[in-house]
Amino acid sequence: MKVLCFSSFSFSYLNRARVLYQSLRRHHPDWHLVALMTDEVPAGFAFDVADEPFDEVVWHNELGIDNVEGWLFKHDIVEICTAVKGPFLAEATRRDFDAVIYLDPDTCLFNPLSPLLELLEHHDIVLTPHLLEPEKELGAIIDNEICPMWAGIFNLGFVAIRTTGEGARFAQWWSDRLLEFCHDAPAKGLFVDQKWCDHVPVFFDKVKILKDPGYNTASWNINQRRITVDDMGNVRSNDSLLRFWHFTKLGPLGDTMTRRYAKDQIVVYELWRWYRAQVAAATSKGIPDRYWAFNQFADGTPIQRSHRLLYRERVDLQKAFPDPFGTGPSGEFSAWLRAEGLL
Amino acid sequence: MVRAAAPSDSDTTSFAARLVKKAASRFRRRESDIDPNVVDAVEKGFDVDYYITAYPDIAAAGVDPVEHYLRHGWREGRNPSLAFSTRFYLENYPDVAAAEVNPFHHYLTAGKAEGRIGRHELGFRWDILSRLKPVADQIAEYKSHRSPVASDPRALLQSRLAQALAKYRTKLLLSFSHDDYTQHVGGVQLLLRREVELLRADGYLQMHFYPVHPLPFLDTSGEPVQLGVLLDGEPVGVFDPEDIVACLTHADALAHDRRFVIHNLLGHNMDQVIAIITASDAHQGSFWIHDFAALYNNFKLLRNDVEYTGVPKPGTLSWELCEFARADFSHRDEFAKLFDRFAIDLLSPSRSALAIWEEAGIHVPRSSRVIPHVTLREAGAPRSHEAEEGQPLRVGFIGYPADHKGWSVFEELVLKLGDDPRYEFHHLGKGRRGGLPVTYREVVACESEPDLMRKATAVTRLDVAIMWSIWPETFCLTAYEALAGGAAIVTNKCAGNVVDLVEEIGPGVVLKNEADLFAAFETGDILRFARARRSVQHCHLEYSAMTLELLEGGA
Repeated sequence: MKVLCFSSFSFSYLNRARVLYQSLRRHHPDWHLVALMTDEVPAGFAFDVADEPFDEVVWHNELGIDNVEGWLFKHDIVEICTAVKGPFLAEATRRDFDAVIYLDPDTCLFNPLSPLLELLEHHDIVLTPHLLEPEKELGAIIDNEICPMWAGIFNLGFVAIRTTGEGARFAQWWSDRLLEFCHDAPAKGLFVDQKWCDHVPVFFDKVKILKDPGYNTASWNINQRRITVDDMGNVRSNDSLLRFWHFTKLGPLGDTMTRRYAKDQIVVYELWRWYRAQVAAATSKGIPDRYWAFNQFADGTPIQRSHRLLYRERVDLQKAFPDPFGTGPSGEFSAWLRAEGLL
Repeated sequence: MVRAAAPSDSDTTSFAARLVKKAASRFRRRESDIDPNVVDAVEKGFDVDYYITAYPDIAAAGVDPVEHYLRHGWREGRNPSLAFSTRFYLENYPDVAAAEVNPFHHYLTAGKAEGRIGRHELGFRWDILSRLKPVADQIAEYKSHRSPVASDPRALLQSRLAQALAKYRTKLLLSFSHDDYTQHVGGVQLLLRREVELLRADGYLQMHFYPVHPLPFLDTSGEPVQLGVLLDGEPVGVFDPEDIVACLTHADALAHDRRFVIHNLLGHNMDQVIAIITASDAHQGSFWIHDFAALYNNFKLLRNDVEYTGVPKPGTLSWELCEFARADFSHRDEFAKLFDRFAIDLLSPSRSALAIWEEAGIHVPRSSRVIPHVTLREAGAPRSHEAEEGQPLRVGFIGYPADHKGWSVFEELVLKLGDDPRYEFHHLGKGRRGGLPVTYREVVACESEPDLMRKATAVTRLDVAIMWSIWPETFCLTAYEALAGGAAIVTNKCAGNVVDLVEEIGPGVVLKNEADLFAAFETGDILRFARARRSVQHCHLEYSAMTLELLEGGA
C-alpha cells in the first residue's frame, strides 16, 4: 500500500515533529512523509528539508486557499494548524497514494502501524476514540468522559483514510467545514477540527472505530490502559503492542495530568523521560521560544485573540483589510484597531 | 550476640516522640538568619528521626536537621518526613518551584489547605527514576568524589610476591573483585574472607586485585585503574597496572599451578584485567555470577534501575528506554573480550542466576555449575507454636534498607498497616530508618559470628520475612538465614534466588506484584504463615568451599 503520512505544525513544534518523523522513518521507511507547515522560517534559522527527517514541506499558502492571509488571521495557532489538515488531506487524496495518515506532531511511533494498513484494506476511514470505556471516578468522569463531549469523541491527533471512495468523500467534506468553521468555540458546538468528526460514523460508511489500546495512548486514557514491558522487551498497552503514544502537553501541565492518571505505572514515566530527551536533542537553537510568524502584525505588535474574533465575525473588516497582518490598499487593520481603541 | 538498638515498645507514638526529642537534643542550631516563623512552622511537621536516619551524612555532620533542610536539604531533594516528598511537590506544583520558597513550609502553611498533595502515590520507582542520571553523569559524580592515592613502588610488590611464592611455591590464584573485601562489609566480601582461609588451608596463594576507587560500572575511560593488592588476605599496597603486569611477567619463580577467579570486575578496566591474567600465564579461570554486570550495564539487570523484565535486548523498546543501555560503552562487549580470550568455568551460586545467564546466551563458558554458598541442614524436628495463636504476626525486613532489596515496599506496607493490631513490624540488620512504627534490632554479621541473622530471626520469632528484591538476586544469604531462623518468606516473582528458595524449600509465597502483597496483608491471607499455624523447622547453615569446590573437583 502506497502511503502518504503527514503532520501539521509550526516551527515551535519542529522539535517534536522531528521525533515523530524519525520514528516513522524507522518503522515505515517506504512512506512518503510530509510536513504541513503554517509558519515562516525564523530569521537567521537555516531550514532545509534535505536536513529534516521528512520528504516534503507543504506550506499553508500552497493549499490553493483564497486570500490565505485573511483566512489565516481568523484563527489562532491551534485553530489554523488543525484547519489546514482538511485542505491538505483533500489534496493528498488526489495524489498517487492509496492511503493518507495524519499524526499530530506530538505523537511518536513505537511499533509499526502494519495492522492499521490491514484495516485499510477493508475500511476507508479509521478513527481512534479518546476513551474506550466508561470512567468510574468523578474526577476522571469530568476530565475524560465529559471533556470529549464538547471537544470531540474521537482524537484527531490521528486519522487514516483510503484516498478513494468514502475516504475521499470524508476528506472533501472535512476540508469544506474546516475552511469555514475550524474554531475553538465549544459554546457554539465547535472544537477545531475534532468535534466535526463526531458526525463521521453517521455521514460515512466503511468507518472503523479503532479500539486497540496500542493506538493513541495519552494522559486522557492512560488510567484505562496498563502499560508494561514484556519479557521480550516490548512495551504493551493492556495486551496490545504499543503502536503510538500521544505526548500531549510536554511540560508541567502534561506531567501533572500524566501523574494524575498514570499513577504508579512506571513505564509511562520512562516513556516520557525518553521523549523529553529526544525532543531536547531535536531542538534547534535558532528557533525562538514560542515562535510563530503570525503572532504579530507586520510592525511587530502582538495580535490578540479578540482581534482575530472581530475579524472573523466582521465581513466588512475582511473586505476592507484583505491582508490584516500588514499594510493593505485601504490602510492597516492594526491602525483601525488603534483608532477604535482596541489595540 | 544480638543487640537490640531500640526498645520493644509497641506504643509507637510515644516511641517515635521519644526518639525525636532525643535526636533533636543532639544537634546544634547556629545563630540563624532564617525567619523564626518559618522554622517554627516547619518544625511542627518535621520528623527529625526520619531525617537523620534517612540521611546519615546529616547525622554525622552534627548539624541541626531542620536548619539543614531549610538551608540545603530541600534543594537537594531530601524529604522532611515520610509524609512529604520534596521532589514531587516541586515537580507537581511548578508555581511553588518558580516562587523558590521552601516547599514543605508552603505545604504546611498554604498548600495543604489548598488541597495540594504532599506525598505522592506514584510508587518508590518514580522516586528512583526522578533521581536517575545518565550513566556518564553518574560516573562523573563518582569520579568527582575521588581523592588521589599515591601508588606504591613496583619493587614492593616484587619482593612481597617473591616472599609469598617462596612460602607457597606451587599454587597461585589471581582473584578479582570490586573492593577490598577485608575492609568492606557485605555478602560477597564475607564469602571472600571465607574463601581466602580455605585457599590458604589448601596451599593456594591468593593474589587479590581490587580497584582503589569504586565504580558501579567497568571503567572504560582508557585511563589506568590503580589496583589495591592483597596477598593471602594481607594488604600489600596500591599499584599501577603496568607494575603488576611487569611483576607477574618477570616472576620466574611463579607457581606451576596458575589460575584465576573473577568475583566482580566493577571498577576494573577489562583490558587491564586481561593483561594481568595474560602476564601471569594463568591457564584456567573461573567466573562467579555474583551479579549480572557481564550481561548488561546495570549489574542488577534493572531497566532504568526500576524494573526487571528479563535481560534487556538490543533493538527492543525497553533497551532504548533505559539510561544504562544508552551509555557510550557496553558491558557485554567488554566481558566478551574476557570470555573470547580465556576458557572459563562459570560458577553460579543459584539455579536461577545460571538460568538467566544461559537463556541470555551472551557469553559461552567452558563449563557451568551451580555451587550454592550455603545449604540448609535441618536442626532437630519441626516444632509447633500453637500457644502463640492470637498474637500479632511478626513481619520483618532483614538487612540494609535499600530500594532494590524492597525496603520501600516494606515501608509502604508499614505505613498502610502500622496501626493494624494483626501485625507487628521489625527490622533486623543495619541502617535503622526512623519515622516508622518498626522495632529495630541491629544485627551485623562477621566471619567470627556468621550466624547472627539466623539467631536474630529465631529470637525475634519472626513469622514472615518480606524479601521483596526487585532484581533477580544471584544469591540471597539473608533469605537462607530467615528460613533457617524459622520465618516464612514473602517475595515476588522477580527476586531470583529468593524465589528458588521458596519454591524448593519454603515455607513462603511468591506473589505477582506489590498490589497482591498489600492485598495479602489487608485480607489477612498472610496470617496463614504465623508460627502458630504451621510447624516450624529450624536449620543450620552450611557454607560451601566456594571456588575450591571447583578447584578440588579437578576441573
